[in-house]
Amino acid sequence: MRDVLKLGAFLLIVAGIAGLGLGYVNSLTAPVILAQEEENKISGFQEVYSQAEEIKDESAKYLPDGADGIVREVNVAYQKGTPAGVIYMVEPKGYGGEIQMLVAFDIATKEITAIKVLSNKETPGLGAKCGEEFFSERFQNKSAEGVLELVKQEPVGDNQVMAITAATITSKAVVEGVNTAREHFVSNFL
Amino acid sequence: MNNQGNLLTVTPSPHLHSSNSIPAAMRDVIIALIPAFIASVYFFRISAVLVVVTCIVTAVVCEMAAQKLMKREVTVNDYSAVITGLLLALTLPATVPLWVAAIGAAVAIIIGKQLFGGLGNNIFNPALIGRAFLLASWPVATTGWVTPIDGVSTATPLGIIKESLGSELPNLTDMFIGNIAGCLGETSALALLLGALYLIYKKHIDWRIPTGYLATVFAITAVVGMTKGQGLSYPVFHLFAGGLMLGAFFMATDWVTTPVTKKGRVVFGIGCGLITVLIRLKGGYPEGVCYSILLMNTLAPLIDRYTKDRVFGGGKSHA
Amino acid sequence: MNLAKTFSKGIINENPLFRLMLGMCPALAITTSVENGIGMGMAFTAVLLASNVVVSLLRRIIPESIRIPCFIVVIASFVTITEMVMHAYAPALFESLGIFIPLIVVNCIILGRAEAFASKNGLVPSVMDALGMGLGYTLALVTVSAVREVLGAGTFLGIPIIGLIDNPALVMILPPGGFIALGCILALLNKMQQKKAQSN
Repeated sequence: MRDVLKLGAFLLIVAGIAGLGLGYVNSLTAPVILAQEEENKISGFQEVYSQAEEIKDESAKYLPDGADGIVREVNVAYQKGTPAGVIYMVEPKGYGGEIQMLVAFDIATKEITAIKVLSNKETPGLGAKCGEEFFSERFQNKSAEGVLELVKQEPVGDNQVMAITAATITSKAVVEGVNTAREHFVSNFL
Repeated sequence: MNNQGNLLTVTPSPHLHSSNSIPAAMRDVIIALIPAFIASVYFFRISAVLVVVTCIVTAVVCEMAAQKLMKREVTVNDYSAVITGLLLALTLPATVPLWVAAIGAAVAIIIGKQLFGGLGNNIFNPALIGRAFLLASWPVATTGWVTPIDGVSTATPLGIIKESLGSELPNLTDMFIGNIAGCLGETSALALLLGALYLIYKKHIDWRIPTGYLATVFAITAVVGMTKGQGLSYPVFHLFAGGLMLGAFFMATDWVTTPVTKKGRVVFGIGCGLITVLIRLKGGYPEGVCYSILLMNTLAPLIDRYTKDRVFGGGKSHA
Repeated sequence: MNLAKTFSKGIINENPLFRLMLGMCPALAITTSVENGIGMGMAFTAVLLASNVVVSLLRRIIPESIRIPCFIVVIASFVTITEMVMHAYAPALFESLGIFIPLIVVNCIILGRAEAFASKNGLVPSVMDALGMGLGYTLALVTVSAVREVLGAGTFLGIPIIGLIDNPALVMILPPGGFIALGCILALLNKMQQKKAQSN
């Protein structure tokens, strides 16, 4: 019995020291990690919507049911105190998992300013190409008023976007993400 | 006492004689594949010939080189490398770059066959290993489907269903004859059936595997077709579409990589059918024949073990 | 056994990956690029070094009957520290290594060295052992990932190899490529050793 107590006490001390050490390291690294994530987010916002003076996360206001569906965040970009654009964070389901991406709209022109894939788990060399510029460029300046449609050949209509070769499922997911954000944008900001 | 070679080998009876030898059986398989080859040349012209020749030559050369390097007996004369090359070529589209086809044949022979110990020791069907490797490596180059004869880029019937991109499905007669987009050897169900009948007549392949395979695919898609309200044309479409006929008769029946027991072969066929339908209807790829056969290949020894007949009088513990 | 031998055995004769066949899971999963291989190797070496040092120093006061839980607490703490530091100062590497950093805890090499070496040897040999094993594992990871990155992505350390491989075989950076590359490398090494044994 005494043996058990002694061993238990020893383990407790070892775990205690380890815990203290971890706590100390965490107090050093946590602020760095937080600052970095914030910075990433802001630079991502600026990439998709450059003319904002201030960007506020207004998800609580525009997503009353919480992060329902695939829309995760609604960020409103202000210019001179009035909303000028909206940046959505959406997570449509791709081939290998969720694709986290930003979609930005301009309120005045009713167009998509840009999209940006933040992270994806798609197949390297295929679906993972959705993060590259050549694909996100295909969404630029598309009108927010019509539903976007995925096609396999060179697009003929204004609302058509060409899929990535041999990665139709990923392309579909990205288009679905943009369309969902678009719907929310049209019904809340136009 | 070095008279080992002079001894008369005596084995217990029965002494069955079979005129079958490996080269003879392999030759029959090649004969059976000739209709499919002719159909592919008719539909895809000179590019079909180039792909087939590239695959066969590479397969034979690799087999020879690998056996020399590994200091094994060189057995290219048994035609098995020729068949592997030919089967691989028949699973590729006509537009495939020839260097891709050559790498596929090399992978099939070296990784799929010789590294496992050569003919008779490979776990997986070598041609399908080659195809799976190519499909994962160059997904764009290996899925460049074109229409027969005029060679316009298009989607396969299964691709049309999977991605529902609004193209029209070909009619069933075209699919039976082979006047559709697809791999060289998979488009013409008619040509494949002719070859298969010859092999069954010559008793080289067991009817149980293809029957179990095709019946399973037909049965499941018939049920799905009914719920979709499309009737019998839906399961018939699935029978003729993609590589099902080629896979069921020429790849799922490979002597080396399939079960040896009769019951086991039925199970093997049913398993292939289940996985094929699952991939076609629920998976990410339009076609699942290649992966279904490879997956069932891994199960072949297990199936054999559980379907072996008990030895008479051997007792339960030895079963 | 002298110190130089303690150090060098981990690199060739007792290479954790190629000879002892330990730590296979990360070796298959993260070796898609040389950068990942180096990063994983370094994280691994850091944890192994720290845990070997602590275990060796405490080897006389840790009670025999609860040594394994003690080792695990020590290893898990260092892994968590490594993870937090990487997250803060090397976020890109942290992202690409993902779940495999926390999984260093269950990497059998680290517990194996603690149990088989550090708990029986003094501080200096334990440090040499950790450095040798760590370097050996890193070299092994770099070898596998170099094969995979060059064949599968056509790059080395992210720099494209122009002209040599324009159309890389994607499969090599997908999971099957890990098995193919590791298997072929092991076969080659075995062959080389056989030759050496025959000529001796």
